[in-house]
Amino acid sequence: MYPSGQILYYIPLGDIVPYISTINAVILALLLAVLALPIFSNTDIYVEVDHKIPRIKAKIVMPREDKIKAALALGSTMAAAGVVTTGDVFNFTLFLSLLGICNMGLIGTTVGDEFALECAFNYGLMCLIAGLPLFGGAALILAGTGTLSLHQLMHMPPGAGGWAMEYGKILLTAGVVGEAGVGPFYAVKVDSFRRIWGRYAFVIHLTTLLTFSRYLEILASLP
Amino acid sequence: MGKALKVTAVALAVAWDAALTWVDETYPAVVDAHYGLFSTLTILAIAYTIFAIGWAASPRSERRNRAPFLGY
Amino acid sequence: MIVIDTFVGVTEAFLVGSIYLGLHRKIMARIQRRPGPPIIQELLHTLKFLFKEGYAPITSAEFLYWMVPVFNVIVWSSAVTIAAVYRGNLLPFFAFYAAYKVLSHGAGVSSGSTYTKIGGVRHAIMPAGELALACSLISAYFVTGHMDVSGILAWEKTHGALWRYIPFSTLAFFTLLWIDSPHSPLDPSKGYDIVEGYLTEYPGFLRSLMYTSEAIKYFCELWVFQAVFLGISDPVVHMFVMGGLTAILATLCALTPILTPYQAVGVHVTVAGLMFLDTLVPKPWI
Repeated sequence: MYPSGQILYYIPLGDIVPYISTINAVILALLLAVLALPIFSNTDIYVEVDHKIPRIKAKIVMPREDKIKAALALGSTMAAAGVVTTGDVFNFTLFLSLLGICNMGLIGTTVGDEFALECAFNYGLMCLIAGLPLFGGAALILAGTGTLSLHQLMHMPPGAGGWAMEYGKILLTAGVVGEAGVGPFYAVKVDSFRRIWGRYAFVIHLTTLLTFSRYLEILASLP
Repeated sequence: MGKALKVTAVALAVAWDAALTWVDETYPAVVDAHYGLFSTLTILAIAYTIFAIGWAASPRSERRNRAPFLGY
Repeated sequence: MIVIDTFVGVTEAFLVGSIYLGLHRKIMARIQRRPGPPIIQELLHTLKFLFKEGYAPITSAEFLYWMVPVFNVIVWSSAVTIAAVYRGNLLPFFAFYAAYKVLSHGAGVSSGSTYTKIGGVRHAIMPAGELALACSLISAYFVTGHMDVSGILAWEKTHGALWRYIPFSTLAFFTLLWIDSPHSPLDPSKGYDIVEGYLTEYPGFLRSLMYTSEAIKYFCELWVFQAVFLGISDPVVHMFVMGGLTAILATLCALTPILTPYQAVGVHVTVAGLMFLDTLVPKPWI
């Protein structure tokens, strides 16, 4: 049985051929539904306790900062939606890089916070380093099989592409793990959550994790 | 937030569950053809039913200005 | 029969999960020389809290705060419906697991208390390793060629249980069960230094919804483990093996101290890395 479930709908968009299968539909529905939660709620008020002088400090994000962050969060969401529906390995890597850039921006635009800037720098470095195996993996898959379209790759017999395919899969996994902040590279992403509380941390977390679950589907449908 | 709203919420939950069960019993072919839609509706019905029962059956009091837990 | 099957399946998951969580608690108590509550205590707790008042603290982000318990129930009901009731594709399991982790993070950041926030951040650290552990289900696909539970079960009927082919992936998924059982040493978001983690601020029926989703989650994960790696399809055998697994998990949880977040993720990633040994180590027993 084909691992991605039944293909329900092809989105007409040139030769990229994004599609919605049953698995994609579940991931996309989760992405949009969970994302609606922080849009309609203000998570940027929080209390801190000073145990010497008991008092409540409230922090509210400034409107200017909020605007650029909202734009970046929108970019991050669009990139995640692209990753989830794409039908092409190269587009997958492109959208994933865009996702990394937007998330880095979400951390880095925190005004007046050196620690957040440092986190953004570390996250950017990680995305930069992970970009090489990510695109290299896609290139090797192209070299091995002659196509990057998932619709053709998923119908190839097992073992097609030879060593280039196997090596490409390993590189692609390394790239996705770095970009999405899974596995041993989690620290750079999570360190920033200590500082940017609230809805934007939620967006970063959501997009990266659901991207990873979409990647597993792609991995299963490669020959 | 009167009694009417609570009754409406629970009635909606019961009606939703009953309607789904009725459709399932009466037109099984339709339900099987659109299994994704009906599974989604059922799961939403489950979540909404628990939430509505809990919300309607629990008492209301003046807790609106409660501060969060700040340590012992 | 889809609607009735779903209703029955989710209710069964809730009841059985609650009972086995109670058993887990009882065994842990007996190992630590306490009498412990009765086995149905978790179920009674959930039902009791369903009729208590739920309210949001003044600093909370209300919509997120009220919706997280509802979404948790939706996520785990969907997971148990797809995996256990229809024996369908396992790929959505990752998405549901990831969404559950994000929602726990949301529960932490939504209330405004510092304790829940630390719990939420710890929940954000954890999936780095836990998703890697959940990838053990992909190894099942690479061995059997099936991604749906019914296909894997049919394969196992002719070839034998899957744990003999991929023992390290089985270990990885068992570690995931261990992480997600209560009072686990590998999940610092359940440590008592942050009171109750992201659950601290949830009163009344909202807490009841959280407990409901926890019970369904426990059932779902144990079910997937048994179906995929042990090759069990009979419901009665399922119940017995679930009890045995609960006893093992409770013993492990009772005897081990809790780790710090980065140590815990280190353990997760190490166990997940062991999965590559499945392809290297020869298996003479096949």
